Amino acid sequence: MKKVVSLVCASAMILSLTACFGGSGSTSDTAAPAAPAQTETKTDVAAPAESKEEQAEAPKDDSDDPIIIGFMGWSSGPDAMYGLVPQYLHEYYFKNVNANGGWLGRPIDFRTYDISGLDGDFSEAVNVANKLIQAGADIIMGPSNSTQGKAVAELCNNAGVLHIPSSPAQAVTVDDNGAVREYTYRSGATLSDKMNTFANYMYHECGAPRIAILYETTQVDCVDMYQTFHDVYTSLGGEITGVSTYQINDIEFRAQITSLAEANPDYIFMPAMAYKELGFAAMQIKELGFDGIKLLGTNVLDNQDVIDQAGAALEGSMFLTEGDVNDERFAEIREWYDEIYGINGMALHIDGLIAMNEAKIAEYAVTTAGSTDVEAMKKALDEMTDLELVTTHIDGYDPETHNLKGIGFTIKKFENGAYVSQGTYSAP
Amino acid sequence: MNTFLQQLITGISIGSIYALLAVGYALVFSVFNFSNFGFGATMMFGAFAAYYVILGLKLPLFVSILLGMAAAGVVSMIFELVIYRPMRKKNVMRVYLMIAGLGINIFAPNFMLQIVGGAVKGFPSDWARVTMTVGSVNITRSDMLALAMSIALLALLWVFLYKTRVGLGIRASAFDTRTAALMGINVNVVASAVFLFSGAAAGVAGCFYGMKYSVYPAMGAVATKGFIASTVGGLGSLGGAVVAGLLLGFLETMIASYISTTYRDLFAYALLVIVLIFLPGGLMGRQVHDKL
Repeated sequence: MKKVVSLVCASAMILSLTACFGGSGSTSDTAAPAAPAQTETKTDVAAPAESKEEQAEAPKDDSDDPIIIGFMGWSSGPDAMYGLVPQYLHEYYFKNVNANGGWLGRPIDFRTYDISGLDGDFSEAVNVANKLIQAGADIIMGPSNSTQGKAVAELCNNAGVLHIPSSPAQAVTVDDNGAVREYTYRSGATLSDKMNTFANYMYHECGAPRIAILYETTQVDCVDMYQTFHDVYTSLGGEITGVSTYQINDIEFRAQITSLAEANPDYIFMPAMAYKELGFAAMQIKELGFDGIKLLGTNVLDNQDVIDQAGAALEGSMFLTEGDVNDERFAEIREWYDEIYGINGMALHIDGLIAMNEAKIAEYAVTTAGSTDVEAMKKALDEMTDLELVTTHIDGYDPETHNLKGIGFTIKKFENGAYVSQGTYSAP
Repeated sequence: MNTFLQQLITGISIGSIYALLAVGYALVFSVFNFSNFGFGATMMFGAFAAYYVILGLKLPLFVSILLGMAAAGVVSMIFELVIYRPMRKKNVMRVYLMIAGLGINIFAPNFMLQIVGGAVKGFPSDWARVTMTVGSVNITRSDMLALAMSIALLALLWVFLYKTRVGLGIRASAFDTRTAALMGINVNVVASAVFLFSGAAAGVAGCFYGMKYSVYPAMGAVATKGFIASTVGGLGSLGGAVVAGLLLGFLETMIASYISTTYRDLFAYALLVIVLIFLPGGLMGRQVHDKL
């Protein structure tokens, strides 16, 4: 009898696993029913320029075949909301696209992949990118962090596949030699633009307060943000009272906060890539009784979940964002997101919306080019001068960097239980 | 000096959580000679149980902690009954039990992620968040409660192990499980009791961890630190687990504060390796030798 019970329980665990993760790593339910079999011919992902040119010179014969679009997100583990929320947004978007006849009369075969790894292991993104390239993906979207984004960009550019990530470091669209990666087009602002603007705002609009910095050393995005903010703020004449560090997945910061507080800063700036760290830090600053120290964060704070987590401890905290998640422009998205995906327990966040820009850019590239030929899609994006994305309006791409032109920034501050817009700001 | 005292309190408060987790590891190891790596998952279930008891049933904090402990204890017993016991009966190598535990530890948070989402949830108790000032040092009520309840629970555990018949059975089994079974001790009852109590310890650690930080599916990852403390203290030694847990919390805080967080884990794991090299039985553990 006990054997039967054990067997039933084990089966239940396996079935629940299958049910839970059935969508990851496979064609999602938005996929076209007639998805083509994956090609047996392996693409040489490290192919030199010759093969890239061969691909470019031989445009695809646009048929009724589905357009294969892959999306990779950090969709499990403690930071799963940064992969799952954009995945849900994309799935809904492409479901509607397919319901309305697809693009160019072709259905979208939308495939989602979880690229999270234990303790910051970033290798899965490379595996997924290779898999998608070998499967003949027309466009690869994601990821959102730059460590993985850079690796995926290299693979896509070697293989000549259009890549649209939301990863914000400059190194994703520009290689180590300073040359633009031809096939990679970002979907949001760069960290350097954000941090430059934020440092200027703090110096010019907030009376040049004394700022300490606590940053994570594992992810290139966090290190970039720290470095840019530090350099810009001190070059303006601002005072950085101290710098301390933490590791990926850390949630205990009291030792560092206590040390940083000795120099009496007005703010502690945490250039974090996940909201929970900022929530923990805010709670711990309050617990330690440093009521005079406020938190400066990043746009990951633009999320109801962090307010549920840290509540009043966030009072006075500020951040810069390229889109206000409470803005009316997102009302319709919020409505269907909450109705359909709210049950998943992850609030709509601005990073998810920035990732959703990827779909808009992909749509523009395909429909303007009139085909999924990668060179035609590239040409469409290079010549773009005006596009309304999900989060903002843009004036096209900078040809030297593939950075978006014309993005505006908003400053938000936590006042009386909610983040309130302080208006838009541009660095002088 | 004030900063040092504040860091000391922080270290003790972190260490008390590690100590509770380490005790759970030690309890299972002392009887069954393997480490239950499903412990982080048990801790997480306990914290979520307390969280939803407060939110859903509107019960007071202390009742929710007790129910969180009970829930974690039951979950732990279920793991033993459904996963470990059938494997023990087949006399599988201990390493497979540990691998099964690792599987639980990955399965459970991802399962919860799909059920409740990945959002970090603030523990719904304003009482626990209140900060008290003692001299120049700030300490939250939850930290003080964690320390007090940890001491009380460890005392209760000692009484149970040394003053009750079931406790005698557990100690006999810890000495030699097969001989204890031949002497008429029901090893399955002992196993259920051990997993119940170790699960309850994980549950209370989960509740305090939730109060100190938040409740979220991946919170059980901290149990790794409890395992390190358990190993450094001496696998199977309850006293060693407590001492090593507090020591680890103290060391981590001081290294993060006065050296760098970059070196924090380096020191913690170096400590584990060094202790294992020079004191294979841990600081207070019995010497055990495998036939190689």
